[in-house]
Amino acid sequence: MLHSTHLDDEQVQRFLHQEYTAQPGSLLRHLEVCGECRAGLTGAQREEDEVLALLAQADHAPPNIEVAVVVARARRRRVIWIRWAAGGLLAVGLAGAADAAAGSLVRGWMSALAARSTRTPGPEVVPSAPVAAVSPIGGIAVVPGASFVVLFQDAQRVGEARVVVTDGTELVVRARSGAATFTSSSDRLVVDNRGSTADFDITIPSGAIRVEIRIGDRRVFVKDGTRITTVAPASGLYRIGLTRRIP
Amino acid sequence: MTATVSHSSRSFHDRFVALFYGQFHRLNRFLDRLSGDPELAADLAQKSLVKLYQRGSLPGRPDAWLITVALNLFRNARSTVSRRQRLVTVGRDRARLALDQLPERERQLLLLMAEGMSYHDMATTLELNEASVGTLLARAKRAFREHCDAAFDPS
Repeated sequence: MLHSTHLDDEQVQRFLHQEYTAQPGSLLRHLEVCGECRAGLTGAQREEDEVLALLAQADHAPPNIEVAVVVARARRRRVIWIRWAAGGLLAVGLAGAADAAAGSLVRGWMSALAARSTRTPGPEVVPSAPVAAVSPIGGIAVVPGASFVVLFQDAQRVGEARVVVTDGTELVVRARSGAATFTSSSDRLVVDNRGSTADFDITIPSGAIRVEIRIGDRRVFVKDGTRITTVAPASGLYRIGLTRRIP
Repeated sequence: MTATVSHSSRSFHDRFVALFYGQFHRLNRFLDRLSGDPELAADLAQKSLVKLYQRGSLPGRPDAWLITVALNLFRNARSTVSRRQRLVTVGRDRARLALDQLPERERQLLLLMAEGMSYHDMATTLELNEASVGTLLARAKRAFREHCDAAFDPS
């Protein structure tokens, strides 16, 4: 049976990519007698060659990643997960033991936790509007926007921030000693540390594009892509003094 | 039993290593073209392979599986990526500009075709009607070339 009409886009593309399965014989016979379709097929092939060449222009140099790095990353995540699970079980065990004691405060915490857990779960919320902590708390976790600033409102008399970059997705600021008040939005986390002497732990996700840490108007740490610029010695753990003087 | 597990896991590791060398650059190239962000592409390509390693066994079609995982990771990172693309595409070559102007589905389809994926796998990955993949591809290629030409035209 001979094709009675010219090839449409679907048929031309399938012929180019060897995806044509329906009656290929009739298609070939049509091509033998139809110069217009042969020209269309040649043009489509030329167009595809040009498209592939243009796409190659958009390529960056491939990264030099060793398989050992990927395997180590996979194994490390598994270990981290196991540690979290073990830590969670330990915490539950300790809470259970403490709950057994009469008049324990843990009982109240567990009740509050249980009440929260019975709420209907909603979608994960990424802060888009300013959210202020109502009272001093120990830490806060946010999903950073494309360009994110962690601002310590003032220099302290003593204290430091320990900064690490991890594989996680959340930026976490935790007061290791004492507490602070945190205010966050999609592009900023303000730490009200006025009068504080606390030390802080800051965890920055490696996927975050740009993160700055400032003390007042002084910029002390910048992660821009994979490049890190900081006043602290580079060691994987960046210890940044929160005092007025750069250490 | 222990010996069997040990043997099995070692052979998986060997097969993963072979797959890595066959697939990493292809996966990275796909993500690089998709995002225009080489750092993000390298990170997501690694994460896809990390997920495969943690799976502990190879799927039936590892190449299609990796592309699907990479696309999901990219979609999760998309809000951040789109904000960055506006910054990094200024002054980039016309192919990059043309890719950025394509609708998302056309861009993904074009890039999957460039990686030699079958019509069936493209339709499955992008949730398309397989019977219309060729038509959509023709449209995507035409639009891409038009955007390239427009980017090349100084007027």
